[in-house]
Amino acid sequence: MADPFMNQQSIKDLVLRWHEVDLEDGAADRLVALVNLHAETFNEYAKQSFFDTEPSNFDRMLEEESRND
Amino acid sequence: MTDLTHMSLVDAAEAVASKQVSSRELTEACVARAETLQPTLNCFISLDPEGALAEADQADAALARGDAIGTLHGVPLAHKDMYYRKGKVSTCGSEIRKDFTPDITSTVITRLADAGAVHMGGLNMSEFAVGPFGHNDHWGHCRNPWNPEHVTGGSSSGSGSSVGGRLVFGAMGSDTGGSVRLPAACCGLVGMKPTQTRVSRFGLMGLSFSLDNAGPLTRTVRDNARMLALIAGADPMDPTAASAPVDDYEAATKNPDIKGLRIAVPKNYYYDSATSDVRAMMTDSLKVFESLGAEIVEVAVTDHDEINTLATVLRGPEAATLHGAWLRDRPQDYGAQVRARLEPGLVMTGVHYVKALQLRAQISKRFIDAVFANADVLHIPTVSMPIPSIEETDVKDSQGFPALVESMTRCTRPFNYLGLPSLAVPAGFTDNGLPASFQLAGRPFSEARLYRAAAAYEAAVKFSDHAPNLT
Repeated sequence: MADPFMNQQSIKDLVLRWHEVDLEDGAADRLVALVNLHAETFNEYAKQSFFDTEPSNFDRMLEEESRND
Repeated sequence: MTDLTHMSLVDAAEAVASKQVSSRELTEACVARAETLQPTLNCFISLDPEGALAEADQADAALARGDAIGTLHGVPLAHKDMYYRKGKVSTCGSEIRKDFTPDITSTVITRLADAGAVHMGGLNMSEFAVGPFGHNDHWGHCRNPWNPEHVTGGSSSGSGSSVGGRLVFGAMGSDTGGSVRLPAACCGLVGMKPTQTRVSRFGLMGLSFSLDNAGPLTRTVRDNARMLALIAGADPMDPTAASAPVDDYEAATKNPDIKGLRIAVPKNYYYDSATSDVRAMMTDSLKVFESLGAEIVEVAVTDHDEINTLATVLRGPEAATLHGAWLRDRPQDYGAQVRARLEPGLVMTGVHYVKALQLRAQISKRFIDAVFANADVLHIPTVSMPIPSIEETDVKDSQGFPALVESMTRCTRPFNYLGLPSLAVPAGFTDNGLPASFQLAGRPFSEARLYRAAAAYEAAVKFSDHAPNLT
């Protein structure tokens, strides 16, 4: 059954409104599938709190792990 | 010497330094081979014989004066056409930037030039570094030196083809999801994706600044180590470049001893779609490592499927931001598949993007703990199928293209998100006569260890003795 919220037309409208990019139908279909995949991944996989994190923790981790070698 | 172009980079540099051969002779040989093979391989976007020979003459004059010389003195190289050189056109493999002339020179190019390298020209690449097979709708497809009907791998297609074809002694590529390692694998070369932040990206066309890496492609392990040693390290022009000390990579390749080295082999994910001949090549290479005294240990890799989605969520908005104005104003000037791969970033949310960033440290740490607690390096295929033909992969934006892209990149892309170094190493030939390749991945900043292991394998199997038959 077609998703009433996220479908070819709604994603075309969204991208046109946000970015002024006019998607072809096939591209919009791919983006619908992708958006749903991402929702699935983040909803199931990344439920944790991110309150005490910030992106530079990655660079620190790389240096710390090289010292653990 | 009968054919100067077939020397290794290190041997070529030593031949020039010891005056056995002049840089002009070396460069003339490379130019002649490039001019002969360009119609077959299409690996140059811009070949600059006059400029290269002028640089070669300067190198010879410096040597005659007794000037101090660098470790690449007089050796011809060429680079993916996205390494900016001030005042020189850098097309990024695109129609949109076909006349772009930067007003800066990339740090990598500056460091290689300071070491004495001669610049032969700009190399073909997937448009804007998007495309794991190496197709280019604007500049023509680059072709594999082992069989021109087959892909070179991408996006550093010209880097793979030109070094594999013995047109130049080494080349720089860039790697956002496998773009150094895939052409290295397809063209029978050594290709390094270093630790994230190990090499400055200043003056390099960006695709996804969280995942982009600069890395060399060469015919031997020692050649690769020499190039990385020159370009690695802190750079005041790129605050994201790591300040961690640069190890002596080349020393690690000399008389390499890997007795007791623990090599991890994954029980899951990396062999899921591997074909039987690729599996056989991997098994054979592991037997070589065992014969050299390494110990093989099985491991389970973590978060494998999610890592690919998270990498997409990082790359998407970063690339779509860089390309946003052209996607709006010049969509027709992109190749169909390139545009189709840039558009998804337009609909990814800020919250998902930041979550993908935030998760990176813990997922990478979890991977390191799972894989490297009892192992020193991880051994996996670079490409899990035989190298395909150009015809079967030139599918533009037809329905099956996402799966095709995924099948090519599934073994390389995780390491860009994880930030870990990964070295593609030639592993023989599959049944279709095209090269096979494995990757050695390691802890952050463990490039020297990867080179040591690869050099031991190379010394045992002598893969760089094999050259494609091109005339």
